Amino acid sequence: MLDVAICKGLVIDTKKQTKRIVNIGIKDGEIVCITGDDLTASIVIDAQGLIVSPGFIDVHGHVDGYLYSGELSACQGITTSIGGNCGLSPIDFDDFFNCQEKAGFYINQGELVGHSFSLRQAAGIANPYRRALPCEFDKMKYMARAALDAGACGISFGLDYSPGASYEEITALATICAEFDRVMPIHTRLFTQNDLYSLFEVLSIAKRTGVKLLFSHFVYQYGSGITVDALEIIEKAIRDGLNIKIDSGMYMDWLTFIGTATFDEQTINDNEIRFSDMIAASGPYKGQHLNLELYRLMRQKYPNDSVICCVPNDAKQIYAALKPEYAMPSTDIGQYLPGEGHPQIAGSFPKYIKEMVRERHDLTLEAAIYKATLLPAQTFHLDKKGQIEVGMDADLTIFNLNTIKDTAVFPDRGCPDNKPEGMEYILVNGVPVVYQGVFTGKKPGRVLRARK
Amino acid sequence: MKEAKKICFLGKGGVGKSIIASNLSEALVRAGHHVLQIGNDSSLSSTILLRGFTDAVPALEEYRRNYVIQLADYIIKTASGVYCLELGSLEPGVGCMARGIQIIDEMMEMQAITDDLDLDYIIYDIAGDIPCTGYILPMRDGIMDTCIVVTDGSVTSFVTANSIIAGIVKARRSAPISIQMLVNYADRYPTRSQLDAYAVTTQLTILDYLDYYQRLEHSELAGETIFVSQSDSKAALFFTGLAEKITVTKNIIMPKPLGRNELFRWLRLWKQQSLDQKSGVIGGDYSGNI
Repeated sequence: MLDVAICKGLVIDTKKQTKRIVNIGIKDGEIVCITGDDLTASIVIDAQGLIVSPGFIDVHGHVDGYLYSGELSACQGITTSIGGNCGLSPIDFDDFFNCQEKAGFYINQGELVGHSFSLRQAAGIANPYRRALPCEFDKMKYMARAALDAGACGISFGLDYSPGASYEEITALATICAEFDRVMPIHTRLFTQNDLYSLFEVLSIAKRTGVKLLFSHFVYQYGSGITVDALEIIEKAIRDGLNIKIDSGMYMDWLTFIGTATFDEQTINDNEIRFSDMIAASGPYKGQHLNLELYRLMRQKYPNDSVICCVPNDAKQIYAALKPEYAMPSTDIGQYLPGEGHPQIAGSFPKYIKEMVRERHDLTLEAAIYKATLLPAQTFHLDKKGQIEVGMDADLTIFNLNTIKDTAVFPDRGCPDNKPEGMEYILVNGVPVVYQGVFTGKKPGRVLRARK
Repeated sequence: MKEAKKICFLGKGGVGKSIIASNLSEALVRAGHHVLQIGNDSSLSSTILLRGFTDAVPALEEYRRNYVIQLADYIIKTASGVYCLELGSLEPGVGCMARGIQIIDEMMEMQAITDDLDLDYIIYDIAGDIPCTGYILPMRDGIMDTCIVVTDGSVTSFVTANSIIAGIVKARRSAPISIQMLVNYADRYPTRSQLDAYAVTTQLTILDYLDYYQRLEHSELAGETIFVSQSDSKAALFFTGLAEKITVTKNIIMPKPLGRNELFRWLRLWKQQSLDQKSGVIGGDYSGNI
């Protein structure tokens, strides 16, 4: 007997970008049949009136085994999250994967090895403004290679967090990443708000090494009014033969740790950021707008708490960034206690479907789902994900297109981790982690070791 | 690895930066140094006196087009021996110049240009009037060793010079850098006396005063440096002397540029002095109009 049957739902074919009403049978974590015939199973889900999509894949997160982030991801339809982004990751990947397998997790996790915090720190570089020495290069290369050998799905960079990283340093790691045919997600470094050379320096490295690029949270980088110019540069580079994808979220206001170089006073001055436009997202001052005094206090005493930087709201840049065929939605989810964070941690994917499909018609439903499922699966070589086909992993996201809605808000106005509406059933490897809209707490998630 | 001394010329467009930089570059070469001059004006005109009719291909524009370039392909060696590189500028209205110079600087290091050309001096002739973050970055982030701000007697070029100096001083407040002024058309009253007074007040070092030389003007109009046909002229001697001064390392004293109100007071005084002079007033407490 089947473990799960999903009946009468409108099933999205991400490959052909079509939809049809069929029944899906699941056994031992895999899709085993797709049929118009009635199915019996231990669990029968009536999906009439609902959309049945492959589970969403979040290519830019910082879940990294943190349970509450896994729960918030699952509740917005994410069945696979790629962690270790922005240069912040575990270093010992055997240990990380083994611990995750032992403890179990709600969703599947792929993991990148990160350069800008993690490899640099592990190589002994404490100052983000300084270049690596040759011996430190060698250490980073050795550790990166070990991580990729152990199944890291790429090398991530948060160049904003290591402004001193030299072209040579980045190129050396990109060469290894290309050798393994893995992905190199890049959070670019902008020395001024309109610094488009932040793109060219990375394109130059891709041209030299052939590495597959993924430009991270695009609107957070270029939402100062240069999104369209930046996209034109990306499109030319793709026409020139470079392998490039981008990911982007549904919000303009970005956040990061208050203690990072991104929030150095020099950077704040250069970019004319006002303290009143900064909101504490975690820690004892959560929800408060900053002033100079609080800024300095948090930098000194709470460097690992996160602060949201509010920028002029221009939502058309969000939609422009997510519309191209090479763009994927992402959350940039971090690790927070309940009640803390940025609404991106709970609302990103429902907001994407609600606004870009249902309300604005920027994308067809099929195209939007493709960009959230098969495109990321192909990008990260997740061959058994991103499609609803026999033999595929039974990662499924079942939602109501008419009611899907994000409810998370910025922490100065309410709860940034309010769970969305309309997400009815989320299955990870055939096991419901959300059932009738309620999080089940089951842990069927697997670690996804990149294959050699 | 060889280290070349990097000197940038800054100042309002039209004050003579490129003419001065080109003649200085040639003077340095004639004194036995190896020199690369780099310009970043969209007109590619920084090095035109040096390279004559040899076309320059803008390196940064080619970099944006091709992502990877070999800088040596874009460096022109002129008959006088000065190496020239034009970076070009932005696509109008797209992005900012920030980091253009930094990227080229890093490329020069990686491609061992300084070693291969055995460079002693790199003369940057930087276009732009407004000291925004992007403009100041090369000075802030340690690419330049010396900044030479060029001004003439005009009020606008003086205001620009003061504001550029203020930008550099602010960016380098914790790591002082050599900032000097070069006064062009210094013999046009009351330029010299005014800038002398400014230098004393702000503790700014005046590197030199370049008077008006008809021969220099003619050489520029002919599209060549003063050394091509007037190598024994006073103007040529000036640049030979300037090349010697440039090679002398001085103690770094960071100037204290004028604030806005102070600046306006100075400007009013200078205008009054000019008016008095043009009106034939004699007997003030300055004597330049006698």
